[in-house]
Amino acid sequence: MKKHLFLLPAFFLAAMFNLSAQNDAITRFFEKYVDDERFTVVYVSPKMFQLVSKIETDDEEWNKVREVVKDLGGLRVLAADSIEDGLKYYKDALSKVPANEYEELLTVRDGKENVRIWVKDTGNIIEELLLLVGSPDQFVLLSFTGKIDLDKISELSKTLDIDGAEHLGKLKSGKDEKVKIDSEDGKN
Amino acid sequence: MKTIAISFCLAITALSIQAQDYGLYWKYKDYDGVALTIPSAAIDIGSWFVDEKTDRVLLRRVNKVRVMVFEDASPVKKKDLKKFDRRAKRKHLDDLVYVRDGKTHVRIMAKEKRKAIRKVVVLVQSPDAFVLVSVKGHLRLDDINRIIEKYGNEKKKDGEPIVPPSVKIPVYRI
Repeated sequence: MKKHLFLLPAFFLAAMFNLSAQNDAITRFFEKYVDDERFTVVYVSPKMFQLVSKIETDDEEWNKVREVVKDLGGLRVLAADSIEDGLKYYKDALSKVPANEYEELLTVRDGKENVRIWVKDTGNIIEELLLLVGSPDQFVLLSFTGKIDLDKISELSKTLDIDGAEHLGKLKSGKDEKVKIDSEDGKN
Repeated sequence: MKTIAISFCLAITALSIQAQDYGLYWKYKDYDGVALTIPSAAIDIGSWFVDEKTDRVLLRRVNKVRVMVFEDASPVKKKDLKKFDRRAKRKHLDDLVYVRDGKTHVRIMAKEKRKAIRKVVVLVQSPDAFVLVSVKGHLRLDDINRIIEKYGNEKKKDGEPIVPPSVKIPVYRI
């Protein structure tokens, strides 16, 4: 019995390490390509969202943006718009997404372009949204963290000047509404 | 004793001045490039020529602007940039946005204290250029609100969509 008690902390430590390793899979993917010049990297810190949300005005459009970003924790983007073998990076990123942590929300395949959106939630709150776009010459990995409202995020897609972010507009409220679209001419 | 006290005060003042730009400006300002400091008096005088009241108010809240530009080759060493990072972190100058496109890195940092932005630093690095812009002041969020309201309305009249500059990320424009 004593021996088992001794092993208990070690078990918890191992479990914690395993959890953090899963969480870091996407971070590691970002870090792998953060200095690769073929990719464009964007990081918007939680502080930026915090500052934007503090600016109150009578401007309707601004207030819409404020509403969207007030609960956001951060945004990371890894994008390449003229890359050879974009599908290779897409598949690589796809394999890194821990299926037990993220729930797939949307899949679109249109010709050779693939779009996937996952969410990570605890209870009713979506904590992370992951967007992956892959085509032979394009790759986009976008990650939002914080308390995410899918309706508001789709609204934000109009203001983000990032190739691939327009796919966020496909999101509908309620993560139970899973969308899967395969275009007829899709051969991928 | 008096001499020691004066020397001590001078040393403290010199250290605090250097701390404003965390050493980077002071180390490289005499290198072959452009380095200028616009003091608050000059900004105040400049604000007399600004017609719009909202712009004038915001401008008067700026205490100091420093600009350092190296166009052909950047003499700034990585070691000094790391030192700058460490000091910035210690002084609560937080990263707001980081964009890297090809070999060009853009960083926007800010320090906020009591509902006001006290400092904004923009760093642009590329193999053949280096730009440091540092704005020190007391930019109240209320004043920024007024600017947003003003320019937001102006754009509306033009019929263009309003895209807040802080949210629009210039991914493919650098």
